Amino acid sequence: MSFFVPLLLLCLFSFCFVKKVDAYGSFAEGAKQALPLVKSLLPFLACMLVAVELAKASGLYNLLDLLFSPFLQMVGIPAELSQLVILKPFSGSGSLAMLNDLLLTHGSDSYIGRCACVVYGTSETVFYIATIYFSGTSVKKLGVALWIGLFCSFLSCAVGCLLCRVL
Amino acid sequence: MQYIWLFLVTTSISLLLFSNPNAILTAMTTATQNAVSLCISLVGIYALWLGVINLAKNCGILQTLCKKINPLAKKLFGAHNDEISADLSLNLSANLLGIGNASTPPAIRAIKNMDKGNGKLTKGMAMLFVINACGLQIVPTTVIGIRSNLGSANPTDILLPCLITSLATTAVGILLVNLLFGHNK
Repeated sequence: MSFFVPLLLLCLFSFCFVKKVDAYGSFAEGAKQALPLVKSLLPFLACMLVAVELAKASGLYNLLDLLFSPFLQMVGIPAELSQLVILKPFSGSGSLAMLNDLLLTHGSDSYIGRCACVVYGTSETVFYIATIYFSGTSVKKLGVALWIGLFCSFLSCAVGCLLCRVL
Repeated sequence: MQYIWLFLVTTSISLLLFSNPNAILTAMTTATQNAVSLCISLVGIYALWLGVINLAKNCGILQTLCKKINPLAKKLFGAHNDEISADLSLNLSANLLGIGNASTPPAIRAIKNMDKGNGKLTKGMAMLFVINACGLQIVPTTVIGIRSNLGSANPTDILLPCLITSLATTAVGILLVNLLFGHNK
């Protein structure tokens, strides 16, 4: 797997050589767009991270966990994973740390460990995506779309845990 | 989005006022500083991929790729001009290849270009957001990396459940967007 992307890039660079395209100039031209793009993201990212960090510091996550964990267990998500399921839409790095913890405590080949991997691998940081995708647009209300995203992310946790039992 | 944000911030601050008022400002400052350092690393990552994408464009590979994926993109997102369809095709293919970092910049550009400035969320924008929120990925590289790090006997045995799950939820997502946004194209 570690060869795949580098090989793809090598093909691309060799192709430039064959086609006599100015690779150096084209690359620089593209890379130039990175700074303005990220500059437009910064204020929105700051906003979102403030909420995430506050919720972490105040223990709001633990409260949410207590609130939702019975419901999550009803759809077959083990109690050990409810915090991961709740944190994932908000924070990629936070849930990665949590995945690491879970694997260390329960073992990476246990049922809990495998479920945790599938939950992490198939759900997305929905709020992060919503923030950076729509930061430069006039759209301020995502409404239904946000709920569809959250629902799908949650659905994948439930389906993933179910599949881990069978596969 | 704004209500969720407001809810998180107000409840957390109220909770902290009782338990640990000193932590409030520290947490907020840490968060904004984290945002800056995250952005700095994002500039680096996006510079690489935007560079590569521009390279692919200038030697004509991108155009070929777009022609291949365009029918699919048209079905999903509706008809758009060439620039937008190129970005949409790029986003789809980067997602499928599991290069998540390469999929974000074209998605941001495409959404910006689809925006008509009237504050309305179109079906195409919603579809792009939902497909990316479903995290369709053929190989979840991060998870496999962690598993083999921690001495799993078989790091890749989560591949199949991951793939089936994300295929299923992406299908549900596409269906829901089509149902709920079918009227406004």
